[in-house]
Amino acid sequence: MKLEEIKESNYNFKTKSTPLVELKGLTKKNIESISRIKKEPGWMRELRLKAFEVFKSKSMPDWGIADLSDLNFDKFNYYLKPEDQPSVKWNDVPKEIKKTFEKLGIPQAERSVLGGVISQYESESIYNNLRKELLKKGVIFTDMDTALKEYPEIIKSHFMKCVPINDSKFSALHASVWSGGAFVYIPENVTVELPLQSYFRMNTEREGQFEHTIIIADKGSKVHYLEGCSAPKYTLASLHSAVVEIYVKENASVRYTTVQNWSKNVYNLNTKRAIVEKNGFVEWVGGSIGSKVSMLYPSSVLVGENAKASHLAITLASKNTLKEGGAKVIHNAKNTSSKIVSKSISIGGEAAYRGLVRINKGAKNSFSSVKCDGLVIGKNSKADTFPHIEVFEKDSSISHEAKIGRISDEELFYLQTRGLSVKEATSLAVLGFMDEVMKEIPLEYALELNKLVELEVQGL
Amino acid sequence: MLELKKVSVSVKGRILIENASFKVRAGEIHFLMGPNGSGKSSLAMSIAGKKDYLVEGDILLDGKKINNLPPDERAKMGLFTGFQNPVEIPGVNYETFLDRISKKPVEKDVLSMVKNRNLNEGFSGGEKKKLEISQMLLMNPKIAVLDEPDSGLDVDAINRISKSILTQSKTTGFLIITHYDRLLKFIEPDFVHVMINGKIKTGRLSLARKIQNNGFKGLK
Repeated sequence: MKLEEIKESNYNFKTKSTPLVELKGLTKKNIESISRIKKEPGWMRELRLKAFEVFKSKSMPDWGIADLSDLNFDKFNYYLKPEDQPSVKWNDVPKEIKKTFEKLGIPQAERSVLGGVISQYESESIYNNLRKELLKKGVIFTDMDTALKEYPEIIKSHFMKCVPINDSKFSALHASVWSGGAFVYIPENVTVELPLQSYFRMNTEREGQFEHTIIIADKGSKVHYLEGCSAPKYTLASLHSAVVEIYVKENASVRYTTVQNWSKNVYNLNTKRAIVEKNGFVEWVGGSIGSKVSMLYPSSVLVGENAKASHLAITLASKNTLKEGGAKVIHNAKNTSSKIVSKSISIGGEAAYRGLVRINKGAKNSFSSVKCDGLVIGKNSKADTFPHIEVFEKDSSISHEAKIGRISDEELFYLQTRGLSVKEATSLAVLGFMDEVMKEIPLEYALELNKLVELEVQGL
Repeated sequence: MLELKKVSVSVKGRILIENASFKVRAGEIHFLMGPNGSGKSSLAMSIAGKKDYLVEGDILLDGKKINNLPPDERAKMGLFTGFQNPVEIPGVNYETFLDRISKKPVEKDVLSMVKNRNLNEGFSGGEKKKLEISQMLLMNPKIAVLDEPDSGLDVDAINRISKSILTQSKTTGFLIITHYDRLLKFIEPDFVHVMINGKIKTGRLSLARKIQNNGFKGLK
């Protein structure tokens, strides 16, 4: 699939005025400009430039199901100054997108927000109230630019430390042009009851598709961080490359939920990783609904005894999309355990599970279970699994289970004899297939995923 | 009313049923009996509209030819099919499913049986059979074709489903496939069809009694 196939016009919102700052193309000058405009400290500027050199030296990943060779980095905008963002009128939002909003039953007010028309003032106030409560407990939840100014030492010692700059071409790209994102710090023994949502933040931090998120859960703390938007998000940029770095300290627990529903002109290539210390627990819950191409393999590095990781992902590959999802878990200490459950549904697109589980020497008595299921529906749909398992410690065990299949004729026939059409029966069976993961996704996202599946099935 | 006019069925060129003709009116109970492999289930699947079952002749529901309609349209016209081995559908919540298909509120005892369970998943053979009958009652069909609703059930359960069938038969026409005579203790059919090697012989209760005493051999 080539980039040229995307109908750019579908996503070209007409802008009211030209942004004052628009940095198009990937050049040293533009990278320096980003750093200057953001008034960053020297070390960050140096880091960006160093990362740019790494980016240039690295070759494009060529092992995925999607062909990235024709990604033209000079075509993208790398920075738009927030105040000068293109303001979009409701009338300019493409009909197709409006129709999707209507079908999804999203209220008019919210549709405007999601269409990028207005900012969500109400959420902002809810967020501010929440922030007061959190401040009392010493919780930090702020945007990355503010964090860089207010907590420079913490950022400096954690930024691109969990995900090294030279991890891949895209981690290097991210480090050189990043903007936006969130910083979360949970102090020792503090439990944050409500999920922290980056949804609210996204409205004020809209500038970048290269957002950087750092979450530090100090000893014995507990937090659920939720990132995403509840409906298709339409943006000018068609390359999204975020980095998420999670530090789970002793006895701490972090649950990171993300649901992405980017429009079908977006290349979604993220790097997300957690380092988990003794008795720590990281839980990844992911829903990958939109985008044209996705490559996303959240990783957990279990460095302390009894550290645990759980990866749960659901991927929808609709028409003309290539979706790779998966997980990476490195067991580096005794008694560590991990569980990976991945479900993919291909309806006119191609989905692949790519995973790596490595149990290193010395990680005695460690255990990992991997389960990946692919459901293939209709013509031109495809599913694959590419599991990699590396065990260097005898005293450990791994279980792996992979299934790819279609909904059986018997199932469809049974449902049809109960008066359900083939399409109704198909969507019911698909929802059944997703059930295991849906239970873990927040209700509003699950409902939306349900509706989207029904829409995709109706379109067969 | 369900009417079969000179219905022959073949699957992949193999003839399974030859020239079957009979009518099932609302309020009537018909038994379809016959030895294993004689084509009884094939007839039920043909009426339901299963793929790969090539039907010649006419299958009529309330006078309308349904041979070429998909199974769901037949169901919407008032045809219910009770399966011998209902397929398990993972992840599909039974309660949600019942809400989708029922025309009546779901009774408490059915609800408690399916609570937090998936469609047919993990139920015993007997439970599945009972739930097929529950689904039939909830859909309130004009015609119900039940494929061995009694197999795998104990006597008490057969008694219970028989009562349900008898009550429902005031408005629904039944075609019940059975090769046990156990069901005869509870339900007296109005008509009995015996199928041997794809051919049908029709009679009344006395035919069933004859089979009860002599088996199918004497009918050849």
